[in-house]
Amino acid sequence: MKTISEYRKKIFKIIIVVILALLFLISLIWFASTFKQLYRTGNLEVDYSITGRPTRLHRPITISDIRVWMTFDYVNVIFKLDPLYLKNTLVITDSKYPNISIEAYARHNRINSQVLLHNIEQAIINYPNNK
Amino acid sequence: MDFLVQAIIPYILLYKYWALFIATFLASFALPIPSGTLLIASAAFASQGYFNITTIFIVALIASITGDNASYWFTRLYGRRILSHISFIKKILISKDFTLIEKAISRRPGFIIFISRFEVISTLTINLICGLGKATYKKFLLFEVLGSFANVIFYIIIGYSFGDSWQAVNKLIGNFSILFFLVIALGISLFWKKILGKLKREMEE
Repeated sequence: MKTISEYRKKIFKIIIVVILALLFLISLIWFASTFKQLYRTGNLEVDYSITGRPTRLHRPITISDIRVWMTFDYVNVIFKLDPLYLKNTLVITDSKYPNISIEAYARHNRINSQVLLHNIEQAIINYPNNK
Repeated sequence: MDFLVQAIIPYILLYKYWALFIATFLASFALPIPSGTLLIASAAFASQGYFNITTIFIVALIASITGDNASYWFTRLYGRRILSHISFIKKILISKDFTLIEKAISRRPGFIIFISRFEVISTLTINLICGLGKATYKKFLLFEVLGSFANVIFYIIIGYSFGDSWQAVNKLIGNFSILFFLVIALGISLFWKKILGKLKREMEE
């Protein structure tokens, strides 16, 4: 014979299992909807190329993707800039250039990192090859 | 992007494969560094032409395997001696439940070792339990290598495929995995006694 407390425990467990299952389902739905949202906003672009190249799910990088953790060397490579272009345009005298992050350079030279980021974006827009 | 990743990624851009090796090794050895995110980022950098994808794969795989092995041997040789100095850990180590879990993992280590490679905290925990419980090294090595291989391939494919979108995708995976592991942890804690009871019965058989 099961006592009342045992029944209560069983019911409590069932309720918890249902809640856990619901949480799991909600997280799955949330995952799918976020994926869909990213896809719609263009953050995930699917290239259904069947020309032999691998199928890739990415969009081209833009200046809005530049972050303060990026190094100048990395920015030069991904935006195909002349290695000396940013140095000359932004009058960078730091000997560590280009192997220094934007944030570290701003900190060492007491510049606001967001201002520096904006200046880098402007310099890339004005890069001769981009015109 | 969380603070830890934001702090480590500039070093990966600066010191390239060496930084990736050290970060992945430490993540497997003892520190809860989000190595999956770092691998996704590195593979995305490779898709942009900044890194070489094959080198990333080799470096990450070697770092992961050596880190796991170092963790296993360190805890096997010195684990009990060091951890027994901490009173609450000592209590856990000598408890019947812990011995039972150790035995269960030693008996059927494959799936647990393999699947634990995909999450940094579970990797560290399983390495610790296997080392402390002196699980058979050959079995540990086999499933650890297979798990590391699958884990590295998984994150590299995500990073390389999503390329410039890696930050958005990483955030998506991060949020989802937090919820996923929360549900699993809640489930385990709820049925803890039942799981232990089942393990006990299996051991007796």
